[in-house]
Amino acid sequence: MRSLRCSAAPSICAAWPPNLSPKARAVTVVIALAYLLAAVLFILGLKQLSSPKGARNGNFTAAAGMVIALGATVPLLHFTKAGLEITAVGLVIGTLIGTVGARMVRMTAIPQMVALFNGVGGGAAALVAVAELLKFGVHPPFAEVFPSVFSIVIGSVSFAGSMVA
Amino acid sequence: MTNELLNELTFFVLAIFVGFEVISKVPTILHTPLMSGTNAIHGIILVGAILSAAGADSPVTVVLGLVAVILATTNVVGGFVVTDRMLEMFKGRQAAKK
Repeated sequence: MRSLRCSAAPSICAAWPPNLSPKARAVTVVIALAYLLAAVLFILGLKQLSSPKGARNGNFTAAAGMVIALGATVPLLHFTKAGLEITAVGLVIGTLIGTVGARMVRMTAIPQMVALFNGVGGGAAALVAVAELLKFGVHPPFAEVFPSVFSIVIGSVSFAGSMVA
Repeated sequence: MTNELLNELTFFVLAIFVGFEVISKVPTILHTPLMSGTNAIHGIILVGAILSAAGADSPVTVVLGLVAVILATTNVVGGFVVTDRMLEMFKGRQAAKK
């Protein structure tokens, strides 16, 4: 099953070839556990966010989860030449826009800023879904189509709605 | 293939329940920071964007990947920074909306 999926999406699944050496197998286990830890930190962070005393820590906890999730992705990456550049450039530009935007906005305009960030996140989801669908050519397998279309619809609605807000 | 989809569906359904429970009984004053925090978390799409952008091979996927990474990073970084700004006001006791 895994090999069938991976032959259809080689860019993501290049890290999961059918014959894994013991070391590679251990790495994939560590990565999976790291993602699990990230998810746990997100949930715990949200729990902390529900009380005034722990709220600020909750934000940091969730941010730590995000860092772990991103770190766990690094071993999975197989860059093409352009891929490395756009990833690096994109990360830098995004960080700049996010930090500057979040710091410079007036306190009264913060809800709009949050809506804007939410919208672009949804837009990103839609774009990723489109890019992944394109990799499959004319007849993508249903398992890929369903979440992709879901993402595209929700992402685009989120993006458009946030622009209006 | 279908097995994979079923696993993902299971996670999805369970996650819905977790999400519901975690955000219930939140004091009104924390509603906006909570919204902002959960928004920052949904920037996890950045993982997907990076995975997609890293393997970009055609002009279309390069453009899509670049824009997706920019947007997703903005969501993540901006989301956490703006949430922190809101929560700076909360030093122990509720500081109320000023």
